[in-house]
Amino acid sequence: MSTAIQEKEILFKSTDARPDRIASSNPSDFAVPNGREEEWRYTPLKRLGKLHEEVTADQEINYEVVAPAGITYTVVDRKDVTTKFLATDRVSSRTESLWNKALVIEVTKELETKDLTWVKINLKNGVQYGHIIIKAKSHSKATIILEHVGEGIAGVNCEIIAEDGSNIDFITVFDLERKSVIASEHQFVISKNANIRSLVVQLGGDIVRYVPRAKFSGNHASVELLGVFLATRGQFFENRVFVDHNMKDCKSNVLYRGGAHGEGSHTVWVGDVLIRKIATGTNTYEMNRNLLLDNGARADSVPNLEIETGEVEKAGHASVTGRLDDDQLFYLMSRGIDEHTARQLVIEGFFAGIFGEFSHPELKERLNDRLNAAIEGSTK
Amino acid sequence: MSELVIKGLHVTVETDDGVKEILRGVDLTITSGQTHAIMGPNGSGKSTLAYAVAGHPKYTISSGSVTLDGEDVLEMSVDERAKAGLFLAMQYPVEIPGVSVSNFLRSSITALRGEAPKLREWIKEMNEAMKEIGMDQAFSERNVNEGFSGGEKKRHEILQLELMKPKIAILDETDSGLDVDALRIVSEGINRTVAKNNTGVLLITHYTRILRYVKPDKVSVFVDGKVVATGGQELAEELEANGYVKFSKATAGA
Repeated sequence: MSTAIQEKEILFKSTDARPDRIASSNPSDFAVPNGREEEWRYTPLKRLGKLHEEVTADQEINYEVVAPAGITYTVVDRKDVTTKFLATDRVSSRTESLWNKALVIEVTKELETKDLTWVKINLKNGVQYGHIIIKAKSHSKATIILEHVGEGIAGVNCEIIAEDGSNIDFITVFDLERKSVIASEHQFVISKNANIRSLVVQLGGDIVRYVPRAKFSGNHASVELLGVFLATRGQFFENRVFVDHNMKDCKSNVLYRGGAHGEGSHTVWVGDVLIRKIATGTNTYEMNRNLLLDNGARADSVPNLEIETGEVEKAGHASVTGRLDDDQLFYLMSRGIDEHTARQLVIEGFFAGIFGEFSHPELKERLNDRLNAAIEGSTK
Repeated sequence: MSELVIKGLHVTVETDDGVKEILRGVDLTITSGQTHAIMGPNGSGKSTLAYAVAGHPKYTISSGSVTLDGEDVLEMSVDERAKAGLFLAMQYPVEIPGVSVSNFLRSSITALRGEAPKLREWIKEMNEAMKEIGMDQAFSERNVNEGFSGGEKKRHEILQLELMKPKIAILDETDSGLDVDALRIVSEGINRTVAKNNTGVLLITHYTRILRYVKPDKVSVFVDGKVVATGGQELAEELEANGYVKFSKATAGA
């Protein structure tokens, strides 16, 4: 038996006829979606590989880990895992009830390492479910990469717990084969004086639905949620961010940049920030910028900011969706640069700098190369 | 010896109120090593002339021809025009976020010369050109035109003019928004280009003050979408004294 505690939490009290938004460990708290629900209104349910209905696992998920000394990792049976993870939607809650083996990673107390911890999930044909727990013990410092590759259908959730004074860089890459479907909910819990910087990169797959949720377990903590996505012909990439300011004097920064190119390419970004009554001294900013690269592309962008206290330090949100600027292309082309290269330069420029915060050169180069290859593909 | 020949050029632009004709039969010839100043009041179509010749998609050529050494410029794409030897210094250079000046210049030079310049020689060439125009080397790491002051943007345009060595350069109000010092530095850059590279310059301006530093071989007055008078330096002096009134009336009466 899982030792998970049955719990339910209300995230947003509904102000209209819609139900409250909840987080729960019990799948029966979530009805099978029909597409009219707020959290499912954009997702093409028919292409979701029945993850929201009754499908069970065809096989165990496959975790591959490379980690430096001081960072331990074990694959643990469900019965031996204690988790406080509460799912916020039907697919995520089903993932929670169906995984058999979890990957548990622990960063030793006070360990500071520049060496990367690399977790690779290689999807196989059929359906698979996984759960990852990352615990950064107090005053540790590490960079962890979670990479999803291969072809298959998967629900993979992850909880990242940063204890007092720890500093975690966490990079999630979705670079799946073309027919793959994945839904992931990530929960960040950040303790006093701790800091998580998270970056998600979405490049490959048929459907990638990513639901990062951050909350604090101590004051003076901070979180950065960054994202880069580039959907091409027919791809659907969704990001539903929720930052729950439930402690005093915490800071959050959400910045997603996305692009879409080709018939049926569709990206969705929904950014919810809630500043609860108790969370005085909050400093938060969220921003999504999208670039539509042709007429077949679509981007939905919805920033929401709900403030329940008057004593915030700073709270802002913004969303900008636009096309490639004719004048920028003209400027470059008037200097002899051909249209293809000009488009590439402008798109690269749009995404430039988002990896800047992540100083590890090997990683930065890899991500840049991969993104530039995707841009190259999208300008053809 | 190169020659840009503009004949009977009519250009329209689509506005909210429908199609509007801006150029109404422009005839001009620009020759290597010569500076031809085009002066005219605001809204006379001077910038449209510059952008139409460079190939901005906003403008439609309804009739007329533009040739560079006999080659049909209007048949060429924007980048082909640049490769053929045309250059446009813009009045309002565009910001390109995330693209550094050095990356931009290298891409441009690689395209224009048909091969990537050798890195060490290129850096030397770029740094020397930047020094001449009074730009700090740190500029090369900034994003193209992003956060540049008006003067910095214009210097950056002239820096490109000097590096790209075009046959014919159209300078669209390069003097506007410059203080006296910047005006002098920019003018020196233009004079260097004409002297060193034998570039033919079409200098579009609203004011005569740049003509104190850049001496034109010819001056044309541009009103209501066409050239209404052409002469030498003395024409500029007359405009300085009496303004455009006389020429505007002449058009209205015609």
